[in-house]
Amino acid sequence: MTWIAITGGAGGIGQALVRLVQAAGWKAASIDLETAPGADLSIVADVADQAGMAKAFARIGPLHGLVCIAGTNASGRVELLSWDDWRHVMAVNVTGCMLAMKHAQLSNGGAIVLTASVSAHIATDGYVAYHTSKGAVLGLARAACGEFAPLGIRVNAVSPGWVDTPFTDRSVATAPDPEALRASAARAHLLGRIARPDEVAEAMLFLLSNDASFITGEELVVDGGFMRKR
Amino acid sequence: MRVALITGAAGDIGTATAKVFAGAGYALALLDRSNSTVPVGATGLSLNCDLSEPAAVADAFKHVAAHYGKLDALINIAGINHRAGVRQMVLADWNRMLDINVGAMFLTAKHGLPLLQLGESPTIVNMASISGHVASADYPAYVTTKAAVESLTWALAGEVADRGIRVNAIAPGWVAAGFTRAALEISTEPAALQEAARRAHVLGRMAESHEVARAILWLASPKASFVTGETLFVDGGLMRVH
Repeated sequence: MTWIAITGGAGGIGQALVRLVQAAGWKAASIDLETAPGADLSIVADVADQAGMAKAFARIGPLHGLVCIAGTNASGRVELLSWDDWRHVMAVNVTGCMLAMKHAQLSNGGAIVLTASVSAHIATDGYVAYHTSKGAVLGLARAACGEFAPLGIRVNAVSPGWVDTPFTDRSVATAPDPEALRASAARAHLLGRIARPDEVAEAMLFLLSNDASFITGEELVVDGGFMRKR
Repeated sequence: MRVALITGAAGDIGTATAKVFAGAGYALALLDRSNSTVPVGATGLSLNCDLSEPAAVADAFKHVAAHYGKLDALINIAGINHRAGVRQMVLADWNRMLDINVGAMFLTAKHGLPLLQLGESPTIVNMASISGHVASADYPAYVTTKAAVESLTWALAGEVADRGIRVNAIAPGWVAAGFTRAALEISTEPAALQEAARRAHVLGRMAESHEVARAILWLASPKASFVTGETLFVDGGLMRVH
């Protein structure tokens, strides 16, 4: 049986990926703060907690793939953001990936997919920790592709733009005018809309698959032309 | 007189940068956990500061505020390195890399911005690296932090642009300096590594510290008045070699 571990498997993109992984004939193990109802195995753990991650991956066992989606956000400009909030975002978004990669029992021919973001390339006022963390994720993917290559394991990143998920809903809800923000988010993409979670998950599934056998150390941007729009 | 605060001022690039800035007429505030050898003169400031300690960073900036009352350039050079693959990584070492190489830049910006607002043509320059762009299997923590430095730089540039503060990053390739010496010391084949480092650059050699320092000086100067949110590569063409 081929297993794929997904951190953040209970989130919007995570649930979409669980379904796609299962449709591909594989088993999906979720590691998330919440239970992932559809997953074949759902472990409740904090990706930033090393002991919890070690235990989770020991329980999951041998893997074909690891997809790190779990992430968090904190709003605040540099001057207002607290050191604790900064460290929390870095711990979940960056260290969480490192710990998953460290403890996952991946086999030869396997693949790792990290979730970066267009936020690694462009900046939105007031989310400095999120931007920094997503740049770090790209660095981690680039660094680790060399370490894992001799083991026959590819390492890549997927960078979404805006995605229609509860994560986005929570962010939007804090805006002074959520509906206006939603409309401007849609316009910010060449395709005139934000992504469905399954559109991001499809890119992850591709990078996990043998169709991507010569792709490593790369970033696949799934942003509906967000970065090409001015 | 323009005032520059330079972190990591006791290291090779920090030392070279402090000298170049002093030569350009800047008054200096030097920060390092070790003593910098660069003379700051009777009116300058040289402080010992552990940048991994948020309270120590806050204290250092209180000193700078009391001493100069403003800042024109914040130059973040301080950084550390750690050799360990992802699978061998010790979490405490990883956290220390994130805190010093990126977290300290967040903290110095946080405490430095009120002083920069009082400066003239105020600017921040952060030390990134080509390591943020290329794979380096033995140094994932370094590569991760250096990519993060660029994203921090871009985000910060947007946050402070309306106050006339420019924020840029500088990305050297191999520099004939402390990190390179350390890497050579722990290498099993130092001669081969040195040769590979030399050949990695189109220019066929590593950079000297002062070449990086001069690029920082230019970025920090009003001559770069329309440059913000950018990364200046000082890599002798390393990124273009394959």
